[in-house]
Amino acid sequence: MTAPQEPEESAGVRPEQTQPDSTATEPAEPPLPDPGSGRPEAADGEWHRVHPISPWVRGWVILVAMLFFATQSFGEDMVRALVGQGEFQAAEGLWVTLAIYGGVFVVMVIIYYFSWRFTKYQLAEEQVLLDTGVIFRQHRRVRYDRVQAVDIRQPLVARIFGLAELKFEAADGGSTAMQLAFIKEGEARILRAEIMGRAAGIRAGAAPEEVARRGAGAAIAESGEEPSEGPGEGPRPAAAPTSALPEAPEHVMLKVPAGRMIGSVLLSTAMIVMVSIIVLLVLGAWILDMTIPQDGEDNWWLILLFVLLPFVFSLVGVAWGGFNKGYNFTVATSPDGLRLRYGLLETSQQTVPPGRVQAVRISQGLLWRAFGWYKMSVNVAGYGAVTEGSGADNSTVLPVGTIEDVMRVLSVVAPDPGVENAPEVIREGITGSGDGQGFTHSPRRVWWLDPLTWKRNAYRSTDTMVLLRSGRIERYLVLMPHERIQSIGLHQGPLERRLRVATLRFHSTAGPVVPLLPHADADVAVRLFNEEADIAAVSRRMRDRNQWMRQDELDRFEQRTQQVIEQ
Amino acid sequence: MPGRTTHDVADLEQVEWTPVSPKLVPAHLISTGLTTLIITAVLAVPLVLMLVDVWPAYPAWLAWGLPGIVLVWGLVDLALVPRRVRAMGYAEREDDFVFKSGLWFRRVLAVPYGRLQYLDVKEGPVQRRFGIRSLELQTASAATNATIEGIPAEDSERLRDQLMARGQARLAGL
Repeated sequence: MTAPQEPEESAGVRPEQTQPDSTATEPAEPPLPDPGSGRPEAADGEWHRVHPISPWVRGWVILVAMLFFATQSFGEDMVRALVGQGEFQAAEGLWVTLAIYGGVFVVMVIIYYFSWRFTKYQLAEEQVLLDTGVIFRQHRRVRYDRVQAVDIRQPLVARIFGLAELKFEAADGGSTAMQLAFIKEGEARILRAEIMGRAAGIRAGAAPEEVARRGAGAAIAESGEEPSEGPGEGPRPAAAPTSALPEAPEHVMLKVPAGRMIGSVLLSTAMIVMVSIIVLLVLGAWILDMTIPQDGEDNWWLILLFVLLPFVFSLVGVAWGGFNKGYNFTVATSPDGLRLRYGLLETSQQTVPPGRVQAVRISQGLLWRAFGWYKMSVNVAGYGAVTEGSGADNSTVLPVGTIEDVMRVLSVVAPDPGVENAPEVIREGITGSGDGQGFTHSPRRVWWLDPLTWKRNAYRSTDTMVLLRSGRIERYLVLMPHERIQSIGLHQGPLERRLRVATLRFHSTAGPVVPLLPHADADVAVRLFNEEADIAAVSRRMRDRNQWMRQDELDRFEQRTQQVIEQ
Repeated sequence: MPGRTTHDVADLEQVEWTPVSPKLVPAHLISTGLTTLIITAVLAVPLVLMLVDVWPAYPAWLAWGLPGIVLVWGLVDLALVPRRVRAMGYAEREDDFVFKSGLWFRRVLAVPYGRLQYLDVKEGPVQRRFGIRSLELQTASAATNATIEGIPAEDSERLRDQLMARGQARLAGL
C-alpha cells in the first residue's frame, strides 16, 4: 500500500483496449524527470479508450426490455411446443419479429461500437482531456487544479463486470465536469490517485520529498488500528494497484453499523410523516366504516386500499433507497482528503479534498434525539443542489452517527473551528438554546414570529468560521468558514423593520446547506454583516490557491486527524 | 435616506452610496406600464366577450374583477417606481461591492471582489433609449443574484473594468 510497486504489474490489470491506436498521438508531454518510478499506463499521458462494453453497461435496460418483449411475443408458443402441447408454428409473424429484434440489435451494436470508438481520454500534463461523440463531437479539458472532488461509482451491472465510473467535479454549479465510464476498477483507482495527486500539486516523480510525505501519511494510517472490516467490504486500499503516485493511504475513521442505518431510515422525518398519513387514513376509514356503513363489496376498506397503495409504495421506496445508498457507509481520511464509501447494490467512493468543503450542516430529526444520532451534509462546489430526503446522496458525509462520529468527521471537513473548546461549542450549537457558549439568539420581541425557535436561532462568529444554529423540532447547526462566504445578503421586510430585526443570508455554492440567520437584532445583523464582509474579503486574501496540499495546512490537517484518532 | 427609521438596515453607516441613474425611473415606468397593459388586456378579453353577449354566462364580478385588480396593482406599482429607484444604490468599498435595493423589503448585498467569477453588462432596448445599463455580478454561488440596474452607460464600462481588476488583485476563486 505504501511502497510504490513496479509498473509492470499495472500492465497486468490494464485492459487491452488501452493499446495505443492509430489516432493516438505520440507521448504528448515531455518524459518524466524520474525514469526510475514509471507511471501506470492508464496515466501515461496518451490517449486511452474506455472499456468496450461500456455502452452496454449503460444500455443494459434496453437489452432487458428487448428480451422481455421478444419472450412475450413468441415465448408462449415456444414453451407450449416444447412441453408437447400444441404445435410450434414457425409462422411468418415470428420471423418478422425476430428480424426486427435482430435489426435493432445490430443497430445497437453499431451505435455502441462507434460511441466507444470515439470516446477517448488522456491525462496530460496540466489537464484531463475527454473526447466524446460521433456526429456531434465534444472535446473537454479540465485543469487538475480546478478539480473539486473525485468519485468512483459502480452501478450493479458495472460491478458485475469489474468496471467503474470515474467522475470528477469542477466548480461549475452542478453538472459533472467529467465522467470516464466505464473503466476497469483498478484503473479507476490509479487514475484517481493520479488526478488527486496532480490536483494537490504533486507532480508524478517530480518531488520525492512530497511522495515521502505521503509515505509519512501512510505511517500514521498504519499506526492507528483500523476498525474491523465487514465481509461485504469493498475493495481495500491494500489492493490498490501500482502507481508512480501511490494512492494516498487512508485511515478508516468510522463505519455506520447496518442496524443504526436501518433505524435511522425508519425513524427519519420523511418516514414519520408518511406513517402518520397512513395511520390517519386507516383511522378515517375505520370511523367512516363505523358511522356510514356501506353494504357489499364496495366498502370503505376497499377505497382505503386504493388510496393507501401509493403511500405504501413510496414508503417502501424511501426506506429502500436510504438503506441501499447508506449501506456500509464508511468514512476514511487520507492526505487526499475525506473518503466516503457506501452502497449496497450500487457502490460509490467519493474523495473530497481538504479545503473543498464550502459549508457543513449537522442536523437531527425529532426521533433521532432518543438515540443521539446526527446527520452531516456539506456543500461542495460541483456536487450541486440535491433533493432533500433522498437518503445518502453525494452531499451527505455522515448519514447517521453519534456525536463522537460528528466530531471526527468535523475534524476533516471543518478542521479548524477557531475556538478553544470546540466540542462544547459544537454541542451547544446542536442541542443548546439561549445564549450559552457565545451564541447570540434572536431578541425576545420576535417571540410571536418564531414561538418555538427564537431562542434557537442564533449565531456565533469564531476566528475562522460562522456558526448558525436553528430549528427546534428538527435541529440544525451550520458551520461556514469565513473565506467560503461568496457574498452576504442583509434582508429586512416591513414587519422586520418594525421589530428592529433583520435576516442575514450567507451565500454558499449550490448544495443542501443554506446558511441563514433569521430575525437577528438589526444592530447585531448590521454589525455581523460588516464584520463578515470584512473577514470574508481579508481571510481569502491570506489563503487563496487552487492546489491544496501545502505543507502547513497538511501538517495541521494531519495533526487534527491524529488528535481525533487518539480520542 | 432621510426620513427613514433608524432601524432600517439599508442605512449602513460609513457607506457612501452612489444612487443609480434617475433615468431608470422612466425606463421602469415604461416596462412596468407595458407589462400591466398587456396582462390587463389579456384578462379583459372575457369582459369584452361578455359585454358583446358572445359569452354571457361569464360571471360579471370575475370579468370586471380580474383586470381591475391587475390594473390597480399595476398603477400602485407605477406610483412606487420613483421611490423604488431612489432606494437603490451601490458603493465600492475597499474590499467589497455593496448594493442596496427594495422599498418595503430592503436588501443589502455585499460581494467581496475576490469572489467575483464574472461580470455581465446588459442593455435592453428600453434601457438603451435612456442610456443606462445593468450590471450583473456572478460569484460561485447562485444565491448571490446581484443585478444592479440603472448604471449610466458611460460609467458601466469603467465600473466593470474596475471591479474585474479588483477581483484579479484579490485573487478570484472559490
